[in-house]
Amino acid sequence: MYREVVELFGSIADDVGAALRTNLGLTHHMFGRDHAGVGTYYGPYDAHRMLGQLVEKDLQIIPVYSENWLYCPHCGEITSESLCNHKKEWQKFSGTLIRSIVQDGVKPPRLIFRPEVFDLVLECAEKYGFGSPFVDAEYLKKRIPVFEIPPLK
Amino acid sequence: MADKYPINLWVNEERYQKLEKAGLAAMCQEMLAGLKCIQVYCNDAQRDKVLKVFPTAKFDSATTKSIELLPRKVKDKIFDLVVEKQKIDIMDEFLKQF
Repeated sequence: MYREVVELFGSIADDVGAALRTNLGLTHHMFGRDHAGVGTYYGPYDAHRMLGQLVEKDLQIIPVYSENWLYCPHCGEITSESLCNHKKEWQKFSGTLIRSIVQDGVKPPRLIFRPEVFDLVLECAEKYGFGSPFVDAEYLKKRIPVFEIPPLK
Repeated sequence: MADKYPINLWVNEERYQKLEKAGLAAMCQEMLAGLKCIQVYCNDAQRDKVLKVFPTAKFDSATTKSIELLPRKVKDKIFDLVVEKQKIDIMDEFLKQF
């Protein structure tokens, strides 16, 4: 039962993300490593496999699959594991690591974070705090409303 | 050899100057496109205690194998202790207060 619930949750999270973007008029949606993952339950690219069966047929949005993003000093750019083979030089990062940099307030090089975007993210982080990056019960309890959308007429 | 779990202390110009004065600047490494970092290591027990004492912290098991998302004030204290003791092996001492 637990497995079924977890599988359903992960699948729904992926599909809802794709459906929302379709309704917003987007034509493509990028899915990365561990997309909508639940802890370590899924393999890092299970979302790619699941979405491959659903999105193109039912959701009318084109999935763009990417592997782990990283910085390669040899290439001098952000690239991914599927595009670069300088494995010994790879400087890996994750969403958690980037959040950690924001939390420390240490400005990264512009290749990692455009300064104007970093400033905005930092300003929001300091104003609204951090908390969980996931919408769970704790997040809903502690969230600080930023704006409201009136009911559609 | 026992596993070591780094805490990444990101280093800006101000921190770099403090590390230079403490003779630790050479221990900085370039982690991301030139972004400097000095790493303080935890063993298994220290990692577990850090995650217990600071519930927002997370062990990034999938990618970097590092302990991330410690509150800024906590990392500031760890950094200050590194500078004060002029070494990176300070986690036992840091965790004594908790």
